[in-house]
Amino acid sequence: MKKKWISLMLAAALTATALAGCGNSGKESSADTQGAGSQGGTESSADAGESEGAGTQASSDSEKIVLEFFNQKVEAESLYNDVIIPKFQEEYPNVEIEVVSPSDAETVFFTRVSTNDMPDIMSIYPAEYSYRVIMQDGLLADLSGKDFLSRASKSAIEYSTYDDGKLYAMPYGLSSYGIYCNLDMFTEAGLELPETWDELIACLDAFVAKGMEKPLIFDGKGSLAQFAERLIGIVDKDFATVCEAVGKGEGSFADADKNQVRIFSEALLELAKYAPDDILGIGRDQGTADFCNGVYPMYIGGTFYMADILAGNADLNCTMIPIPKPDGGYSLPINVDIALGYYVETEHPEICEAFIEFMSRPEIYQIMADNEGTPTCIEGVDYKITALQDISKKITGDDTFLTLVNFWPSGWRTEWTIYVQNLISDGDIDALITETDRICKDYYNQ
Amino acid sequence: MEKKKKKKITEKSLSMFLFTVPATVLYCVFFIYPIIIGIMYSFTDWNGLSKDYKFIGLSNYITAFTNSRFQNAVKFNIRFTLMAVILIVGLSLILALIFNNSKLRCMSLFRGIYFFPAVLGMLVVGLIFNEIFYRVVPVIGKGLNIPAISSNILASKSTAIYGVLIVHVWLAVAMATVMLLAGLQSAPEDLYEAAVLDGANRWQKFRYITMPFLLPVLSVVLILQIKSGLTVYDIIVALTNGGPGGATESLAVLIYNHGFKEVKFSYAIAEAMILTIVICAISFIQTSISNKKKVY
Repeated sequence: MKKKWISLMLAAALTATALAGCGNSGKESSADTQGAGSQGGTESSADAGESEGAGTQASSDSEKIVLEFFNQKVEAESLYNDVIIPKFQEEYPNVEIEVVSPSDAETVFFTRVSTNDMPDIMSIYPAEYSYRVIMQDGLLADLSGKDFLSRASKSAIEYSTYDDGKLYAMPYGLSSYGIYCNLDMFTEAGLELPETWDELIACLDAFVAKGMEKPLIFDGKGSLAQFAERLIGIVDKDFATVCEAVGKGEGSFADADKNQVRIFSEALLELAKYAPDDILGIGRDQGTADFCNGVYPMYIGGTFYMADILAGNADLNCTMIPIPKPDGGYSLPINVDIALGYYVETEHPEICEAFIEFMSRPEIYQIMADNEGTPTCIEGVDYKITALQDISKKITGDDTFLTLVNFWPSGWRTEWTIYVQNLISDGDIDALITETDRICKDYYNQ
Repeated sequence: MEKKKKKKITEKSLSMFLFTVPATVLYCVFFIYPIIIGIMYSFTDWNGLSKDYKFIGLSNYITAFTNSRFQNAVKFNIRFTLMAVILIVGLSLILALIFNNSKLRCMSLFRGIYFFPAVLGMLVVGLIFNEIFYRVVPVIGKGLNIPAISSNILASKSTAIYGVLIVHVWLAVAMATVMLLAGLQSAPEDLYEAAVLDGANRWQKFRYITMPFLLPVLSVVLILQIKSGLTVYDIIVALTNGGPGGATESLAVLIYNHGFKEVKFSYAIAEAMILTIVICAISFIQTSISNKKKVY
């Protein structure tokens, strides 16, 4: 009998110990759990609810409000923690903001969304399809009509506005894509920065003539999708509309009036001639390292590469120029890169909104712009990153378009990139045209 | 007396049952329940984000079997797994035999060196080999005038699979060697002595003594390596991200892409279910075959 009781006790202890790992430790484990996705809680009395699970909890010995901020700009995590949030706390001393910046943040974010485990405040990309699904599901609070929205440029607000005309995230930064040029190497070669497609090719030829066999590099692996998407947008900023038409059976990209894929392919293959032969094996890390070390004078990438370039070689004398249109002029692809929104069911909407407003103050966002590097759309912020000065002015100009990933059905770009890699590998333009037709039919008829 | 004995057995069974409760509960909560939920979602059109979804029957499974990317991924996995299993089992068996028989002084050091890859993180190894394939191997290839390795092998559709395979085998051989070494040491020494007295040669000793004792471990190694080949993911993400041109897109990479990048969650789950059934079937067949031949 004694043995039986010991066995029972041990089994119970094992179960309790094992399951304890599933819960939160300390004070939260005894707290009342609020509904899934419940957010910050204020506790001023013993029976007030403490929130757990959704990343927020309230201390039992004060009126401290704890909010979770899911930050997808991992490189800005320490800036938020060390500088921006302490400044916010000067105005809101009873608010604690926990910054969560996991690696592969987007996957973590969507996993949490799918399990209704929403953070209070979150950084999102409001123009992209997946985030629009969240807006459609009513998970984000409506910020339309708020006074602080006037601090962002009109184009940024326009790009961030959802189909229903409402704005669910305040934009702070706009990204673009172009060609980083090593100015010292250009000076050494006696070359001017190119402005047109012909000048770009002439410039690359000039580098080759001076003995530099391969003067251009880009990420042929993970980020090729971004480059290809921007390049075909530069060819035709309304390409997504044409995709939809082809998808619905209205012609083919082999037709003379729908030659965007052909023009894109010819342009990409022409650029690839000046890139290393094993470009499909070169990733962003390797491209950035080689550009920072002066191996290549030109590097195709996004404004969001700047932080890595500065980390690799802070003294590098470089600037970014737009990728010219093959038929003349330029058209700059834009995406909303930093935007903050908050969960519609958070318990502290007023604090979340206050934080979003606080971040939009020019003097506060100046700190972010000086350190994080993404060109800002907040008016009154003095953008000081030398290499991106010119492009940041062009970003707020008229010759821009919202990059196509925001219009294609989700997954379109990922699948298409496989065949863009095949194009670089085999040079078969017709094969890409055929596959682009097929992908459009697949995605627009689902 | 009979009644008491019966009661005693029941109490013991109850105690034993209670000891299994924690593991059973954890297994059900973290394994059985998600599988059941997963099976349910595989019959829906849930995109992984939206609140709404509807049941669409076997549509996801039918689409998977007719999708060219899925078919290419299956072909890649079969080819990769076959090459990986042959290389890993062959190399680790040779190494285990050397480590088991050698009387060299520094054998412990060698064992440590060969085991080293097993303690490295997959992603770290991927990043290191990325640089080796990009910066080191082509220099050696050009120096020795070997065209096949004069450029980054990860950059070509025809050779990228071998780059992934080299790294995968290098990592997997370590643990397989240790397991086979343990299996070799389980064969009793007196059987070998008896065999020598009976005039058995080296091959006969290996065939009739070593192999039967090695088979249980070999069986485990085979199952683990087949499973690891069919579910290869992290090393591909670190090395090629499925490229170039989808040449190294394995089923696991495809499932991840469909689930998280292309917002086709239910479709990805259907693909995962197919993969699970394939792995279960292969493991079952393989275990059935090796069970007939091994010694306990």
